[in-house]
Amino acid sequence: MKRTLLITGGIAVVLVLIGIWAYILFTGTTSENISFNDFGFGDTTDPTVILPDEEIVPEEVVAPTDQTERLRQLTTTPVVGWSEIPVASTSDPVVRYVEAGTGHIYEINLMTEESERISATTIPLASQAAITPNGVYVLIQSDSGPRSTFTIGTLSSSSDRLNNFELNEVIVSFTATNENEFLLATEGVGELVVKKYNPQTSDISTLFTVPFIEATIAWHHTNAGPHIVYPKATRELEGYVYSYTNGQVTRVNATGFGLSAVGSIDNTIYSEVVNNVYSSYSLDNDELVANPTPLTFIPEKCQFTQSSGVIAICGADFAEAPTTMPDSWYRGDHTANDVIWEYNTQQQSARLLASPETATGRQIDLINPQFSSNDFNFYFQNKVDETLWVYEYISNRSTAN
Amino acid sequence: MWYRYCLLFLLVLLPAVSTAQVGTFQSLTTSNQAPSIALSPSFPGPGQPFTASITDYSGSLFGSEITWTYAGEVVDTFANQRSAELLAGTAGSNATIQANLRTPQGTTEIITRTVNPIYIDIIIEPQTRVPDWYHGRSLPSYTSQVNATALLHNGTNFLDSNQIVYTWTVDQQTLENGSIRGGNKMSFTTPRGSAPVLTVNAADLQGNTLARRAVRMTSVQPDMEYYEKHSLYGMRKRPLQSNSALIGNVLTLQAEPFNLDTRVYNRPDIAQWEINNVETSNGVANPYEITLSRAGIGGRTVLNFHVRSLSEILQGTEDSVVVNF
Repeated sequence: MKRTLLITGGIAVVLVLIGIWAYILFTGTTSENISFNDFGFGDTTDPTVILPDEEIVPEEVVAPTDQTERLRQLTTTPVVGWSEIPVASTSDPVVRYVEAGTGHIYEINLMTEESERISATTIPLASQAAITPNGVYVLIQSDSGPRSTFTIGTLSSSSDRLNNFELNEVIVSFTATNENEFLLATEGVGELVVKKYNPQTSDISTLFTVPFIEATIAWHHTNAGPHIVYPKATRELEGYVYSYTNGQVTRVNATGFGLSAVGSIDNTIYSEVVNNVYSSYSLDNDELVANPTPLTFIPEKCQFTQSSGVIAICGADFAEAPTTMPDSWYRGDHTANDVIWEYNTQQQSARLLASPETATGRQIDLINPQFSSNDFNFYFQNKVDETLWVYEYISNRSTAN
Repeated sequence: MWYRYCLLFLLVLLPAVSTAQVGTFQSLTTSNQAPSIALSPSFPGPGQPFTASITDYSGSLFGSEITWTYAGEVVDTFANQRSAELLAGTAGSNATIQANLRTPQGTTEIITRTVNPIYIDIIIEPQTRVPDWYHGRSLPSYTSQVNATALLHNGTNFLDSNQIVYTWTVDQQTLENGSIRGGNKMSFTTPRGSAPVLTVNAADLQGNTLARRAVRMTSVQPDMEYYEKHSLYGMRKRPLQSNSALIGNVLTLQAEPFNLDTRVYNRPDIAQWEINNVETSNGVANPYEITLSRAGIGGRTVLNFHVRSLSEILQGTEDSVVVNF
């Protein structure tokens, strides 16, 4: 082929392309509805299309904005403990939380989302904390294991300094109760001694003892209980569930490998490894036979509402649980992508409340679930970064309406 | 001559010996082995399914019509069957199983057995290492110490351990040379094998067995994970992947030998860090912690930690992680 012929052909192609570009530039529309220019090649639509007789009614979907409003990330830094403080109905609800590492205490207005530091006293390596529901007293653990120290602090409205002193107890687990007291599980000789501590009077008394050390306690929000106690879970060793109410122990009829549980006065939700599959059950406390739950829950991700013994809110992953559960989740080898569910143990029904990934684009591995005293708000942390989140369970807006 | 008298003496006594033997056999089959009800498992727990079976070695009940009664109610499903599948009641309940046997000759025999389900729990507390923040339980590893607690609960409360005699066995080796009154807590060394069986028998002071239970006690080899440690927030609770990237200029890592005997963890014979196969000092008092600093323009570092006891060579673990920076 001759060189001139090639050059001529190339110029012709370039001219055609310039022509098409010019045509689109001067005659094409920029409407948002039309993505491509119509070159007028004739009618290419299928004339046999059948149109529906009735008007199509679009399916009602949960607007992501509603989820976004109900589900909020409250902090960007890790927290180690928090409590919603009851206020007058005319005031905005507030949450007080303890920052990880520093032990500084902050207050967030849930309506305006303004945050204010109310204690600048540094508790170094703060790793766990509990605040009484009245927002006055705080128990903060510094460091972990044998190096742990425990500080009782009193918040002041006139100062950002925490009036504090060290508690001389070997504490393995603690919580604050609706009675504005602290419950402490302390290590005794071959047993755990659970004590009640009144920060106002400094009175301390024994509530009950647990006859072994390696125990997990799922605390109730009252001093009386029921507090659910079980040997720390592992898929390789058998576990059992005990319920302590007013110091009396009852044996919940749940036995199994990898067993962990959460309970109310009426029901217990537990999970265990059965035939190498991690499975969940709910048990009426008066019955011997448990029911399989509609979803597989890690009980540490569930919390019963304070007003009902049959309704719990849980984080649960759609994905199938790995065969190494629950140990791999404890180790951090497995991270869940949780969706928030409401689970009714009486009706054996589950209702999806919110999908954090859909609503916020963030994946949540839900831990430390906790209700506000009026059940309006469901608080939890994301295990990945230990930030604090809230889901508005009972909407203030719908209540007002 | 004397041997003739001996032979005569033996011949005279022979019928007596035979009679004694027959008598003993008959006593085995009749008087001492009367029909009874055997349970499987022997001591069903509350709410646990169990099988009740008629044991009759005499054969005297051949052709009998069998009627089962449990907790006062006739169980029609298992009529004329030698076994019945039943469900134990609540803890502390006292239910009677009754088998009514009507022989072809018209005679009636009633066999009874009582079921008193109580919970018997064996709680195993291995004295092996897991991080303080870890919510699960550690596992036994060979030669590590295990503390075990037996708890009996009758539906109302734990039974007083001082009124109970406990017998512990590990892989059929009886611990503490026998039964111990009030011995509901026991310590022993993890034996060889991946799944030793721990059994406890609880009896009252008269020697009547109240409950018995055996549990599999999985024994594992220690294994290592590396966790990032923050000076302010403490340990990050997700382990480093085998190939990780260093974000920032400094990275502090904690090696966590899961399920290592706590005695070895506290006083290891070997606690050695290696960077790119070169032994290195971690420079801090905590032998399980190391701080890496970015050097040069970038690259990759193979980090290895080895912890071991030299007296119990299986008490140890070693693992590597690649850090890209």
